[in-house]
This record gives sequence, structure tokens and C-alpha cells, in this order.
Amino acid sequence: MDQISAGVRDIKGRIGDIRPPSNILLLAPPFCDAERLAYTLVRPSDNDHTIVISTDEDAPTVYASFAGGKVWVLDCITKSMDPAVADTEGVKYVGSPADLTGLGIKFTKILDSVQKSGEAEDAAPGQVRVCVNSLSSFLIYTKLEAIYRFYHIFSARIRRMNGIGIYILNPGSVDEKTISTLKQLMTGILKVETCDGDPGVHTLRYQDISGRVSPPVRYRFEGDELVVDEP
Amino acid sequence: MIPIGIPALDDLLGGGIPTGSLVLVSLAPGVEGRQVLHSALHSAHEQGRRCLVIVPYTTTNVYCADLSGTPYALSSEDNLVFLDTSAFDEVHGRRAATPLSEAAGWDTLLTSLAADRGVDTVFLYCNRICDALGTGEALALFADTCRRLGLTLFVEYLNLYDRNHIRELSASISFDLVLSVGEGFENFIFLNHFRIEHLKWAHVPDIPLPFIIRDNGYLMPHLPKVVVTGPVDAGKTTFIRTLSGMPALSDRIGLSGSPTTVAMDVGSPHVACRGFDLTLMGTPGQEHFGPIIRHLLTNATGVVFMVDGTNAASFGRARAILDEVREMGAPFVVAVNKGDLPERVPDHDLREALALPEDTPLHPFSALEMEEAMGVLDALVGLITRRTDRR
Ligand SMILES: Nc1nc2c(ncn2[C@@H]2O[C@H](COP(=O)(O)OP(=O)(O)O)[C@@H](O)[C@H]2O)c(=O)[nH]1
Repeated sequence: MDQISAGVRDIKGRIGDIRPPSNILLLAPPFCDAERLAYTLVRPSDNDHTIVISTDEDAPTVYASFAGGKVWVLDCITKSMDPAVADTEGVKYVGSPADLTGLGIKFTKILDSVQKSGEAEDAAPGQVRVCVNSLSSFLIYTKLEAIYRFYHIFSARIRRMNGIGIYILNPGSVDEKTISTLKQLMTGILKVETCDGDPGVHTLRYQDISGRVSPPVRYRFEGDELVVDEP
Repeated sequence: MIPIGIPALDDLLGGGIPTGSLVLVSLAPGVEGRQVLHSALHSAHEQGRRCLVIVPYTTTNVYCADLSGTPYALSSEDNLVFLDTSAFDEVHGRRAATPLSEAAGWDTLLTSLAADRGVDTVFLYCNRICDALGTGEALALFADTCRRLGLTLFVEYLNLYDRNHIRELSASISFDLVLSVGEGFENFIFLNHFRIEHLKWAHVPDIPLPFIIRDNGYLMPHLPKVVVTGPVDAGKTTFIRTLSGMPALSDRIGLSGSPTTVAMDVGSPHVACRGFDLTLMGTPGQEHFGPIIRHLLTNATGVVFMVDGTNAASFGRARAILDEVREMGAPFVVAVNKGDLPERVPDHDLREALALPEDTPLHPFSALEMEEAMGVLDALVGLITRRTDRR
């Protein structure tokens, strides 16, 4: 049924269920494999559609992180180096994370295509999973208030589609007010920390909307698979 | 006058934008509508105006690449000045930059470009500057500077708030035209629309104007549901076929001995009229189709009510259908078909049979003639776009 990787199921068992619709802030310092964790969480199973909004990696790199499935990419970095690059069915480009107008339009286009491909296949509609990698980059170009307003509308769309959104933010790059403001858009927060000693092992905790915090879960990646360390 | 280059919109505005005007185009997030500024830039550039394009959100190359391959591609680099993300960084990223010093920086830039390069038309993508200076402050700054220098200003603004926000901006800053682009149009939730929120130099009805984007990126105002109705044999099918360029049908005679064409058979073709893309939708005319006609009339943008002007026997049924149309309240024109035939019933008798007051115009025509059929649509589009009363 739910073909998410075993590791994620393990996490879910420990941190409580993450059910759609969910918008989750993934707070992770640099060098924490945050996007790997995020991509694992949004990995599409059979009928699902995953949309990655990437300010930090170009589309081919994003695709390489997924073993397959229906993955759509909104690439916010390639076009500034290669202005002539043209949109394809699966990849749309905007010139920079500063272009929220273009981003919104192309996100709508992807959602339209997702809907059409669902209708064409006549299959039970899959889930839409969206990863924003990363909010930190958007905040470099645009002030908090506009980012908040933009993602307020954005996260509401994900909620209406009964989807899941994961938003990566490096807490070290922003102040407390930014985090607490963005938290208001979310249904939960995943906090990742490095573990002393072992650079490959991280700890995560999940805090849900009611403020309940899960016990820490230690995990690492083996290949593409997330493996939970038994305590 | 600078036409925006979207004919139906220019028509509403009385031909376009008077030079020296200040225009704000507000986009809702996720909604296409960038074509408005692209088209206006294209049009001003074609007129040989000296255009300044301020695009803080991207580089000049990316901006031009986005235009190329669309109907709004710029034909040359002449008469164009760009201030892109690097100009923004220079003003904004200066050490000790304050909103005040940044405002002064933009004012100086504009003033010198107008003097040295003869810039007369400005296209401003304002969000990053609004972000830096405050929305009201940034818009007032550019509005004042352009007013002072006599420049025409087009602003694209991504509105992350609601319609009230635009009304407030429009009340506090003296724009001559405020156009908003939003999503959803009455019951057509997938259609985006324009709305003229404020217009100084002409009077237009406050109606949402839906549009579609063609595959090549061309923006075309759209009237989503123009219903063609009337009794059997009024000529509805012929009308739709003539307008959409389908070959005329030789009558198929059904068992009853009467032609069996039903105007729904021809599908819902798109027809261009006065810069609008119209979807025509025929209805059957027979009495037992009453509920279907009512259903089809629901949410009609406009109605072509058609009657065979030579067939008084059909007027009873025509009256019943016209009553439905009136009940629905959509704008309609009365098209009196088969004007090519000699035996036309006098207007007076037709009016009486249909209970049509003297001030409702009759449009005698022949559905076999393209030009005459187009004249009927033209009259309807005129009625829809000039209508001041809202349903
Ligand atoms: N002479 C003449 N015949 C017409 C005209 N328009 C339609 N007809 C004929 O009227 C008949 C009924 O037309 P049709 O379009 O099928 O009517 P509908 O039932 O309203 O769709 C057909 O035989 C048409 O060829 C017209 O302008 N002039």
C-alpha cells in the first residue's frame, strides 16, 4: 500500500503518524543531509506525484536523487546560467528564487499537468508531495513578510490537495522570529541535529501542531535507504 | 496612445493607454498574466518608444529569453534600456543603504536615463523594490518620478494580499489605470480573468474579463459560453457552422420528414470576434428539450437568440425560449434569420409575438453569410462588454 521506504516507516512508528494534508518545516543545519531526508520523505510511490522546488540543486541532480516515479522539478538556478534553457513537461525553470511571480505561475502549471496526467491514466488519484529546498535561499532574496504571504498561499494549496509539503530551512541562517513566523504555516516541525562523534549519524525529532515532541530518532543513510539506529 | 496589444482590452480602454499615464497591473499568485506587460512592452517598442525595463528579479538575458519564442518577442535591441538584478543589487546592496537612500538612488537613475537616453516609457517589475522600500513608498516613488518626468509607467505587481490591498494602493497612489488579474471566473473556476479596478480616462463596466493563454503564449480574452438558442430550424446549426468555417450541411431528413440537425451536434467551436475568443454552444430547439435549454443557459456569458424571420408559426415556441433567456438575465441579441428570403414577417408582428419592446434592437441577417453572422456576434460582444448593470 504505502510504498515509502522502510526507514521512513520506522521513523513514522517512532514519531507518530504524519498524515496528509501536512506541511512540515524541516529544520536542519548544513551538512546534515537534509535534502536527502526530505527527498526520502517525499519519494513518490506508484500513483504519487512529487514536486521539488529547488534553489540549491539543478534538475538533473534532483532527478539523480530519486530512483524513478513521477517527479517534477521547478529549477530556480539553471536558467540564470543558461537563459535559453526551455521548460519541458517535467522540468520548469525560473530565473532566480527572487521571481515569486514566475514561481507561482510555473507551480500552477505543474499542478495542472499533475491533474491532467492523473485524469489520463484514469488511476486513483495519487498523493502530491512537495519539497521546497530551501526556504533559506528564498529568504536571501525576499523579506520574511512576502515569503510568509507567498508560502501561506502555497501551503494552503497543498492542504487543499490533501498533499504533503516539506520545507527545508537552515535554522542557523535566520533569526528566531523568522522560524516562529514560518512555523505558523506548518502542521509539524522536524528538527535534525548532528550527532557527536559520528558524522554519518543524525538525530531527528518531530513536533506536531499540539506541541508534542517525539523522542529522538537516530538515523543514517545506507545508499538511498534511510536506516534507523536502534537505541 | 500606446495600445497594450491585447485588442479586446484596448477596445475597452478606448484604444490603449494615453502617453504619460501610470498603469498598475496586479497579479494574483499562481495566475498567468505576465503577458500584459510583455505585450505592452512589445507594442511600445514597435511604436519606436524608448523603453526602460526594470527587472530586479532576474537578469536581462533571462528576461529576454523568456520573451523570445512568444508573440511578444522584441524585434531588436534598439531603444531598450534594462536595469536588472545587478542594478538592483547596486542600489540595494550598497553599504549603509537605507530605504531613503535607495529611493533617492532610483529617482536619480530614472531622471538621468530620461535625460541621457531619452527614455519615455518605463516597465517596472516592482516586488523586490517594494520589498526593500515598502510597497506604498516604492509605488509612490516611481509614480511621482514618472509623473514629474512625463514618462508612461507600467508596473507589474505580485499581490500577495487580497483585492482590498489593491483598492487601498489605488486610492493612495494616483494610477490612471489599475488592472487586476485573478483566478476563477464565476462558475468557470479554471478561467483566469482581468478586472479593471480603476480607470481614469474612460468609463467601463466593472465586469471580470476572462482570458485564455494559447499554446504559443498569446493571451486572448475569452467569452466562455455564448449560447445560441431558438426554435427548431431557426438556423442555429447553420450559424455555428458558418462562423466556425465548417462546410454547410446538406439537410439530413429524419423519419419524420424534417431535418434532424441539432445545434449541439457541432460541438463547442471557438470563434474569434473583436479580439475575443468565444466558445459557441448550440441548444436544441424542440419543446421536450426545455430542461436542457435551461441547463445550457445557466452561466451563459451571452446569448444569441435566433428566430426564423420568415416562419410566423415558430414564434410561439420562440417566445417560450426567449422567456427563459430573459429569466436567466444574460445579455442577449435577437437575431432574425433568413433575411435572404423575401417572405419576412414585419418587425412589428415579430415584436408583438415575442413581447419585445421597441428599444430592443432586431438583427436581421442570414446565417449562410459569414459577414452577417459575424455582425450578430459583434453586436453581442458589444453588449456584453459595455453592459454596466451586473446580474
Ligand atoms: N435561406 C436560408 N436558409 C437558411 C438560413 N439559415 C439556415 N437555413 C436553412 O434552415 C434550415 C434549418 O437550419 P438549421 O441550421 O439546421 O436550424 P437549427 O434547427 O436551428 O439548427 C436548414 O435547411 C438551413 O439550410 C438562411 O440564412 N437562409
